[in-house]
Amino acid sequence: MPAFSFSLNDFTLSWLSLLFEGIPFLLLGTFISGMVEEFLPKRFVEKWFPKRTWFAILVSGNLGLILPMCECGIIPVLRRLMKKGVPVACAITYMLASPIVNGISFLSTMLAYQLETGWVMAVSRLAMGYLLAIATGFVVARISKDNILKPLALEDNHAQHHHHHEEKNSWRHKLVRGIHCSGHEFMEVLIYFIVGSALAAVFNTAVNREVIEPLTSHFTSATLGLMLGAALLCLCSTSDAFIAASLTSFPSASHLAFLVFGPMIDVRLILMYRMLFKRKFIVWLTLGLAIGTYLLCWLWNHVFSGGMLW
Amino acid sequence: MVKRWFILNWIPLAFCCWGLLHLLFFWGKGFTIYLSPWFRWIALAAGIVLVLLALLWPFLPTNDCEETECHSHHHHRKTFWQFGIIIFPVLLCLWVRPSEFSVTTLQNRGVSSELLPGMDTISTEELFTEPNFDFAEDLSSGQLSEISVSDLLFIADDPELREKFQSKTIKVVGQPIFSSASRFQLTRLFIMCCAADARPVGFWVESESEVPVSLQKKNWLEVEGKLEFKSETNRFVPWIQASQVKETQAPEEIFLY
Repeated sequence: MPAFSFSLNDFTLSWLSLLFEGIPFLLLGTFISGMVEEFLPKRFVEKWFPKRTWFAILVSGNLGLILPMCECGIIPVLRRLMKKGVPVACAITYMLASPIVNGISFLSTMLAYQLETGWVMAVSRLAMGYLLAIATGFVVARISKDNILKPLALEDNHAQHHHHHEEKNSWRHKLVRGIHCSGHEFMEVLIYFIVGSALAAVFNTAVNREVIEPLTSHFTSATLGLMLGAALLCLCSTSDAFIAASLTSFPSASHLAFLVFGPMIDVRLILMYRMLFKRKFIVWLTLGLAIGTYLLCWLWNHVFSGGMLW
Repeated sequence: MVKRWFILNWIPLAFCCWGLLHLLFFWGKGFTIYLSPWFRWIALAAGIVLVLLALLWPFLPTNDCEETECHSHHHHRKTFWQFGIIIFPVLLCLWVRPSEFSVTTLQNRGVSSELLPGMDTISTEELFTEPNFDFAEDLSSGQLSEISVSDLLFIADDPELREKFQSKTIKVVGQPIFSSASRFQLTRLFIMCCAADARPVGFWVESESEVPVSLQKKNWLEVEGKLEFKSETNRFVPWIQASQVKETQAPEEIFLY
């Protein structure tokens, strides 16, 4: 079997299924974003968001429990929250934690691993996701905003255009403006989503998985291999556990690397991050998260090896 | 004039194309090959929202900047590119019209011969009491039973069922992956959400005679033969000694859920 074999039929099937799966969540994300723009006053964020950075980051890591967003819809919400005054470090913490630290991902992980190992994997995934997100938040808090965000990342033409309508502040006018804003944003994000999904579909259908099988013999190669696999497959965080659980030849710690790294970094997300973040920041974020995920999984492997999971 | 109209209306046009595609696929059963049954309802909701947005968009307030943007050449080019990228998948799926994954993709994904997490098989009790699976009666009377690939894996996993089904003649339908003229894997794809997460499950079939080349190229085969179980590193996997292999229609739902 060749390592790479492309079929237009299979590529189309995989690509479209990724789009059909993601579009509802993209719609939801942009709708929430539009509503945040119109209904969440900046002064509310200034008044109620925790003032102490460390506490604000810890809280942001848990926001996914109240406002769960999968990775497809997170970028528009993130941009809007930053525009409303949420600090960049807190917004990035929320962006990384939300696809993992939420009830749906927790339950799906538990179900995928079933029986006695299900809760261990689900709790470990949630804890690792939270730890990595807040660690990233603390690092980002020390970096200047100018080194993270693209110059016009928070400029929103379509929201700004409505300023001259501000005298009309009834909820109906706000709703209409919110929908208008959501529609523009949906189209903007959809372009990145389509290109990213196309890359994922190529990997999904054309690359022979036997290529990564030799990696299973060693913890480091298995873990890095699955992290790369997660980044290329672009699976949704609510269903990726079912794929990971079926990779039985890989150690459980490598499964966790797949489940934690994938929702934070993948080719589709990297393209969407490009809307907001500078290229250099994305490179450092990817490297940092890869190293962090590896170290946490290595630690987990040492704590649990020879224990209940092997 | 047309250009100006397009610049002002490409967004509802794109909403309309994607929304209608969603609705068309939901009612035309096009989603069968893309999404699991429960997810099709979410896609339908998205389709309705997209069509509503397309209909409402002309009545939403436009702004001065949108009007002035119409006159910028840079904006023209950017808008055509955006629209092209957004509409390309719609055109591609209508042109290619995929109906199932090819054997190459099944091979690329690697066939699993054990029960996968999340796979919804029938329970042991149901297997013998459900009217559709009245195997106890069939087996004792020596009649032929049609079993799904996933239920076969379930049977192989259960010592009691293994004993009951050992050497019984059964009938199974699946997609074949041939390794030689008389040996192939019979597979089905199992999905959780969408076709992108599909994983092939299956088992080996050894035919008593060589399968004709014309049949080897078919996408779906019905295999009839004696069911056996092989021990493989702490577990049992099913295999079939096939007495008859023939072409069959693809099932209505090509995936297992």
